[in-house]
Amino acid sequence: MKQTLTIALVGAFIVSITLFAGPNVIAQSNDAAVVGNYAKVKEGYQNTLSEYRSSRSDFLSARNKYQKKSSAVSSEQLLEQAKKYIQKTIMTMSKYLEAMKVRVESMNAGIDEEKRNAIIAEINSDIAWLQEKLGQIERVTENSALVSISDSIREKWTPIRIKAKKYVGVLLSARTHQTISKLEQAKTKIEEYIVLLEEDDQEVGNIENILEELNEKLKVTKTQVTNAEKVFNRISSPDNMQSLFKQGKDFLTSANRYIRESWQVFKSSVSELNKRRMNNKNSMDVEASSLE
Amino acid sequence: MKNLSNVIIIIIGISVVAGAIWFFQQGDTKIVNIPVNTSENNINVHININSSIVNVNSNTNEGIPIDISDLETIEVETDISDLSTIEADLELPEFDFDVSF
Repeated sequence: MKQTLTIALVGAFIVSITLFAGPNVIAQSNDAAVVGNYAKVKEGYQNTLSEYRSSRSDFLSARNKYQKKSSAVSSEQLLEQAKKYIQKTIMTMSKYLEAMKVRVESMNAGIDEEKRNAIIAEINSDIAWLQEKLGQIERVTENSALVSISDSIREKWTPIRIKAKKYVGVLLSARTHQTISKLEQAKTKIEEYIVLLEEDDQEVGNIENILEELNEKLKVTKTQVTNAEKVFNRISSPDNMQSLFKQGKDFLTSANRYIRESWQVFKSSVSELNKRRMNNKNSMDVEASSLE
Repeated sequence: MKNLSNVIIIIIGISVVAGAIWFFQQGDTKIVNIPVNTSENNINVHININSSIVNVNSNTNEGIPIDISDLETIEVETDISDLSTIEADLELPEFDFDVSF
């Protein structure tokens, strides 16, 4: 009987630990995986960028020697240096796009799913195109062929740059939306507290006024983000890329100013709640169900 | 027969604990997890809508304070600074495509 009870208690303990800790452990693991994955991709990109710069320096140095008719560098050796250099260029582009993709993938709120999938599909398509060029470069035996491939990569990079600038705008807007969403959820919770206070026969006019102000500020914030998104969407060429990106960022800077103001207002409502005490037992009885 | 009773005791024991946990979780853990940051400075803000009113004062004459500790931890500066991180991380690299010689 004693043994049975021990088994029962151990079983109950295991079940309770699993139920309590399980969901949190999974959620934390997922978050850590996302952060770890991005850190890895980012490091990979930065390393490749460093290698690209190094290979460019090697190629330029070798070309300089070759053009001075130095016997130290043959045309075959220089071609190999050039191939290595262009391959590093492609790899850096691919790593950059991968870093962008991971950013977009992990922005699971703030970007419409359809839009996110479309961006990811475009990035994947660009990465595949670049990877195909790597194989072509490997088979090159003449400089003219390598120059031709290099020109095609340059042409491809132009629209990629434009899209990348737009995607960064999308990410910045999405991130700002997340902050707004965070404040809105906090606001909802305060509204729930107001209901409880009303049920407790307390005056709530002051907190309601503060919430009204918070609503107004969040509304203006959203307008600024929407304006930013519209401007980012207009990015369409190398000529307007920088100026429109700057305009979009200006809207986001304005949005962030309103976010800070919203947060100040939000803190006022929290301070107001902090002063309150619940007196009515009936209100306390319903609080659990109200806030669920 | 004895084995059967042992099994029943185990099942009842586990069921009681599981039921108690389930009951408390229903009222206790409505966690709204907002993944606000996916960079290396990842932040997850948990707005924990639970135990909203906690009796920390046994003196009923003064009423029961509202537990707003979860609201007090909400901040926006990290979110805002994350924008600079995103932009810096994804700054477009410059390439030179001239491989002619």
